[in-house]
Amino acid sequence: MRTGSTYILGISAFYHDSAAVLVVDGKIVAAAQEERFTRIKHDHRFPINAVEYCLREGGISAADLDYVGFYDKPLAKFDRLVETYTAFAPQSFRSWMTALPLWLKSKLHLQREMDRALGRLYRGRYIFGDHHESHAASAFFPSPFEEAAILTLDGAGEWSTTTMGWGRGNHIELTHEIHFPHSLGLLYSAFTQYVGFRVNSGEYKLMGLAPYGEPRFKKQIYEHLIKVRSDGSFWMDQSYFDYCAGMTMTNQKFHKLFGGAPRSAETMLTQRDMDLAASIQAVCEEIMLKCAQHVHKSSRMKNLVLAGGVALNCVGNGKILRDGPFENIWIQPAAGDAGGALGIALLIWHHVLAQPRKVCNDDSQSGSLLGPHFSEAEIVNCLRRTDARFKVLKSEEDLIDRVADLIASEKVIGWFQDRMEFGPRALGARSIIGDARSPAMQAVMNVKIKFRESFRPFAPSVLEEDTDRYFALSHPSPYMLLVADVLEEHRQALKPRDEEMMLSDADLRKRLNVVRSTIPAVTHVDYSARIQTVSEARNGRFYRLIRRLKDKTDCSVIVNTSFNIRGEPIVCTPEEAYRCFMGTNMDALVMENVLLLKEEQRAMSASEVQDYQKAFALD
Amino acid sequence: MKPLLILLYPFALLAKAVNAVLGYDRLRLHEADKESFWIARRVQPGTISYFSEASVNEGGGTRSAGRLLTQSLLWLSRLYVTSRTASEKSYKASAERDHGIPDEVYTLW
Repeated sequence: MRTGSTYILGISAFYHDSAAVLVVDGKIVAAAQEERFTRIKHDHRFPINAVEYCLREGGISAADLDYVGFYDKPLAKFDRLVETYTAFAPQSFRSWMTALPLWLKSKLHLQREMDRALGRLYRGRYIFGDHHESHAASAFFPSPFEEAAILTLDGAGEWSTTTMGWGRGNHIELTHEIHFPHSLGLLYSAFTQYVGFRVNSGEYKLMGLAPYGEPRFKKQIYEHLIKVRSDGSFWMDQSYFDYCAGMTMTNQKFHKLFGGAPRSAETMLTQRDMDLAASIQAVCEEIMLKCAQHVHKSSRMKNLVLAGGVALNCVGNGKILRDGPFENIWIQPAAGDAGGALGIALLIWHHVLAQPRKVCNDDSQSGSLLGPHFSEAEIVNCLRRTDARFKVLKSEEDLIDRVADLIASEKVIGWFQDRMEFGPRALGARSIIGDARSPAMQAVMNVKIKFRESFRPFAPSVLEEDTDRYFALSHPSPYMLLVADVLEEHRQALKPRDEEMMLSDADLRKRLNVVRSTIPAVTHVDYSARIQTVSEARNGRFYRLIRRLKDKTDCSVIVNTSFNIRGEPIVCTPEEAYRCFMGTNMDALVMENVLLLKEEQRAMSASEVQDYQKAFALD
Repeated sequence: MKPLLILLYPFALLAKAVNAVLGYDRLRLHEADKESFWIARRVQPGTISYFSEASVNEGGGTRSAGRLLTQSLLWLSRLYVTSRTASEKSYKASAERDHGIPDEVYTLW
């Protein structure tokens, strides 16, 4: 039911990672990506389910909304699209014929489309923010800073692909931009596709592949593909790319430059692929750092906030923090397009309505735990509809004690607690967790749980106060968006046999599984780790679990990976968590105070397991 | 719709030729030698711009013959708008993305 508050709904849709966010009187009340409800990864459609969830969480209907905002400006994007087709005629003909019907029928009638999606209940006017302004707002307004420099980097918005500016109090201003088709995000995506991964989801894989390679193609990239100035600005030679006019990212000239056709998905990775990954990663980091240095020089501010898809490059973020001029950085956890929904909602509150901003010490993102929550009663009801055998533990004390024991005995646990995360990372609400000290944990989790043969290590969650006991990081990283090295004292010398294997074995899993630290499950081949720092204020029970594990083992690091199998969006509901638990080789499932042990369950038949795994296209 | 789009496409070629003759280059495809590639962004002229689907900050200030084509397409799009009175039990998008369109390209549209 509506109160005297101001209800603002932010929406991002029609590109990738559609999402909805509800802001009430400036507070982020609910936020979720559509993929979690439809079970289609990166779902681009109008986020009708996410909207329904947000309204439910706010206790209102669409009729009660005061403002609805969309995260970019469709007419500006259309202008850019037609200009691109013009500039690349006649090669653009196929793309023209494919893209324009969608625009003429749907995307150019966005207000009407949103009216229909909201059941014609919303009576107010629609508000539109520039794509990068929405990103900038999502980075600055929830940040813990009174003032900060702003940097947004992504694939493409309307015209901008990169912007910089500043935020102070309740105001942000973007002062400079770089225009499409010159885009660091698209350059990275071009290499993602060339190395055989899927654009929009494979960028993480490319980043994870980079430590295996040598950046021997860097010179070619700088000489042929991109000109970079000392202020971080760049220009790309479009004669090597196909994304403006065609249906792929790169063309023959690009393939010739790097000595061959793109790698086919799922084929063996070669040393050349690893070197390509290392090269583009090095270029990306250098440009990110130069941009950061430039925005520091022009803003003279000590804090930096980041958003846009490239800001999910946590190795680059780590470099900015380590080698850059800023004292503090904060990165929007939903840095991709989903975060745009949050950005436009906050823009409406602070810019359109000129409402003041209250800065919170941690930040205003609430640990990014902004999605649906399920009570113990709801979980029990769900399990009763199945033939699950479960136990409801009396207290949190009993629960975390039991789970800490399970982790210490190298069991793999499905951990389903609190509200679902907003953004691509599992942060201890919809996570699969395990013992970071176990040399077998990587292989077990990859093969038996994720059903993949990964060359990437899992991420560590560490007690915030113990971060510098393990990692070369003294800055909080609550959203797993910073990479730093495992400290020397935790590293282990490689055996001669392992050293040889590291240099020559074509099987990257073998290289990854070489024990090189006291926390091998989360240590990459270059000793780096993608860190989540966990605090009691943000993470509550998850923090208390790791602290109990520390009491028992003196180790305050655990493995944390997303609660899903390959290709599946992170689980949202208890039903999905239970299905994932049963369809994989997880040892235990913990949902609020409810504990399920695999050994007590009826085994799923092989065909049931196969059906479950086949339900999701590989990413 | 497709025949109309085929008929309009030659105007993209024409606009490209006009741009080449007049030296218009909105995509900055021929500006590799600049000292800096940062473009000063126009200042937001107040909150009223948030109510518009067009941007006052982005894409302005540069000339192109392609603008006429954009206007023609915007006009054409009016023929395809879904009726406000159309009744429906549950929302279905007016147009769905073709399955053949790869993600990387769709994202740019």
